[in-house]
Amino acid sequence: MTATKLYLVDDDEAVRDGLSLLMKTVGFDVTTFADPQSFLNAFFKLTPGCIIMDIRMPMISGLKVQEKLIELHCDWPVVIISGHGDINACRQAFKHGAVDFLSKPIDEQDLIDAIQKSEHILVQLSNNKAQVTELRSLLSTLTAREREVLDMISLGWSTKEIAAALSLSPRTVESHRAHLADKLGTTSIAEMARLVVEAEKKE
Amino acid sequence: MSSWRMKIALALIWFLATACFTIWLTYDRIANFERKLESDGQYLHRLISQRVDQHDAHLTGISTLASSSHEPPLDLLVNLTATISRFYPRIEAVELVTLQTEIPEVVLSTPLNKITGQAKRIRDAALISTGKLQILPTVNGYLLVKRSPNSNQARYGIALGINSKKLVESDLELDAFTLITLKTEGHDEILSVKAGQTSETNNSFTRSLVFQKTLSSRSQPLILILKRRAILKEIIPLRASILFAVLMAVILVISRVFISQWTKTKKAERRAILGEHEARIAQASRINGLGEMASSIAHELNQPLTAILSQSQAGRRLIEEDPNRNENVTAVLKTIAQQAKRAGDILSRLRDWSSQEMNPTQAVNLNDVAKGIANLIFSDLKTKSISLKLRLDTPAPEALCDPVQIEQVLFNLVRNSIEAMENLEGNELSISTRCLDGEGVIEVLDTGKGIAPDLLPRLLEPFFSTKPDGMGLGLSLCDSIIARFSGKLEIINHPQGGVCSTVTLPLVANKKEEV
Repeated sequence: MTATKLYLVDDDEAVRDGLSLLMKTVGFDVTTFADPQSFLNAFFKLTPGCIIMDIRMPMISGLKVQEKLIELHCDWPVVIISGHGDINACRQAFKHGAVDFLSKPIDEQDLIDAIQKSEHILVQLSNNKAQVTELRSLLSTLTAREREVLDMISLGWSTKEIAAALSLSPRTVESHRAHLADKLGTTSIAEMARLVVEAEKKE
Repeated sequence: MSSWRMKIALALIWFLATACFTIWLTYDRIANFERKLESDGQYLHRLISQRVDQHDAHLTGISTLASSSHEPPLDLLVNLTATISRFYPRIEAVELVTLQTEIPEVVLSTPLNKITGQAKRIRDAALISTGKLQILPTVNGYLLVKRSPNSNQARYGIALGINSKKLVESDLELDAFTLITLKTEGHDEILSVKAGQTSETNNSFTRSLVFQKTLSSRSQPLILILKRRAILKEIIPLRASILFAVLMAVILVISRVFISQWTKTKKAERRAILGEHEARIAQASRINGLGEMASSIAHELNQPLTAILSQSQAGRRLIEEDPNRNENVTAVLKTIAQQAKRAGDILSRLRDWSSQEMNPTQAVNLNDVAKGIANLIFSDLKTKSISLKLRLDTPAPEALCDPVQIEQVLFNLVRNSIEAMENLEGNELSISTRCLDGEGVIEVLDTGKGIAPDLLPRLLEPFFSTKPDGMGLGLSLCDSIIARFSGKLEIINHPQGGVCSTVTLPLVANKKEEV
C-alpha cells in the first residue's frame, strides 16, 4: 500500500520542517504548505490524504479554511493543531468535522494516532468512491431509453404512468424494465432507486 | 434640577407662602372685627336696655304723681320732670297732655316748648294704648307715651321725648365705620343713628359685619343693629404681607445657596470617587497589558517548542532506524539549537516590551508620588476605617527613576498593607518619605499582623504568594523594577507590629551633590 499522504499547512517554517521530518521518519508522505491559499489552489490536483492544519494563521484562520473545504465538497480528514488551546476554537473545529485537535508542542504519538484515525476514514472514502464509480459505469451500460425508464421508476411511477409519459405502450415499458433488472442485477424498485441516488452523488 | 426650574419652583413657593400668609392674616383680621362688633354690640345692648328700663320707671313715677289727685300737682310735676331732664340728657322733654278733651290740652311741657305740635299724636297714642307704652318716631328719636292712669279711664297722656343719639351714646371706642341702628318692632320704621365721625365709603369690596339684638325691655323692644363695614384697606394686611414676603424671599435665597453648596460638595465627592475609579482602572489595564502580552508570548513560544519537540522525536527515530546515518541527526540537533535560540529571542522581546512601556528615566518627586497614591486610596481607606498618616520630608526627595513604575510599586505595597489590615479595627497606614545618605526612601507601614518570619525571605520570589488567588508576580515585579533603577526593596516585620516596606532609590545627581 502506498504511504498515506499528509498535507501540512502551517505558517511557521520551523514547525513545518520539524513536523514533516518527524512524519517522514514514521513513513508518511508529507507535503507542506506555508499558507492555506496555496493548499486550496493545489487541492484539485491532489490525491486524497490527511490534512494537518494550524488553526491560527495570518490572513485566514484554519476554521475558515475548513468551511472553504466543506464548500468544495472535500471530505478528507482534517487534524487541527493549535498553539492556543482555545476551547471555543476546539468546539468549532469539531463541529466542522475535524478528526482531532492537538495542542502544540505536539507529541509524535498523539499525531500518529490522529493520522491513523484519518487513514481509516480515507479507506472508507476510497471504498465509497470505488462503489460510486462502479455504479456509474453500470449505469452507463444502459441505453438512453432504459435510463429514462429507470429514473421514472426511482421516482415511484407505475408502468402505466411511464408509458403515458414516454408515449410508449406498457408492454414496451415492461420489456425495458426486464432489461434494467438484468443489467442492474436487481428487481427491487427500492434498490434501483438507491443506485440512482448513489450514482448521482457529487464527488 | 436645572437652574431655571429651580428658580421657578422657588418663586412659586414664595408666592404661595406669601399668599397663604396674607389670606390667613386677612381672615384673622375679619374675625377680630367680628369679635369686637359682637362685644360692642352686647355692651351697647345691655346699656341701652338699662336706659330704656329707666324710661319705664320715669313714666311710672310721673304717672303716679299725675294721677295722685284729681288735679295734678303741677309744681311737683315740674320739679320731677325738671330733675329727670337734667339728669337724663337723652330725655329731651316731658309732656303731659289731657285726653278727655276734644283738643288735647298741654298741661305740662318741660322744657318749655320742646315738643311742639305733638300733643295730638300723644293723645291718640295714649288713647289707643292698652297698657303698653307707645313708641312714636320723631325727628330726633322717639316719643314714649304712657296713659295715666293706666286704665281705660285715663285722663292724661304722658310722653317722654327720647333723643336716639344720646340714647346710644357710650364710652365705647367705636370704629369710624360702625353704624348703629335702632328699629321699632315694625321693622319698617327706622330710627337710625350713625355713631362715628366719618361717612360710609363705597369701596369695591366691603364686607358688612352685623350685630343685631332686640333690647331686653318689654315696653321698648327696640331692635339694636350694629353694622360694621370692613374696607379692603383695613382687612388686607399690607405691611405684614410685605414684611413676610421679604422675609420669605430672604429665607428662600439663603436656603437656595445652602442647597447649591450641598449639591456642589456632593458632586465634588462623586467626582473624586469616579476619578479614583478611573485611576484604578488605568492601573489595572496596565497590569492587563501584561496579561495580553503573556498570552501572545505563550503562543509565540509554542512554535519553536513544537519544532524542538518534533525534531527531537524525529532525531530519535532516525537513530533507531539507522545508528550510523548521523548526518541527518546532526541537522536535527542544529535545528533544535536554532529553535531554542529563537525562543530566547522571543523572551528578550518580552523584556524589551516591558521596558519600552515606560517613560524614560527622570527626576521624580517622591512626595508627589506619595500624595498621588494617597488620593487614589483615600475613599477605600475611609470605607475600611483605616486612618492615613503621611509624613513627607522637606525638601522633597527627588529620585532618578520612572514615575509611572514607581507609582506602580508603591501602589502594590500599599494595597498589600491595606489587605493585611482589612478585617481588623483601629488601623493605620503610614506613608513616609525622607532623604537618607544620598538616597530617597519611601516607607509604607501598616498595623496588620505582619508576615510569618519563615515566609519573609521568599516574598520577592516570582510566583510566590501568600494569597490563595495570588499570582505571586506583584512583589517580584516591584523588586525588578526597583533593581533596574539601582534601588532596593526591603520588606520586614516592624518591631511594633505590622509590615514595613522600604523602597530606596538613588537621588537625582545634583541633589546628591547637595547632600
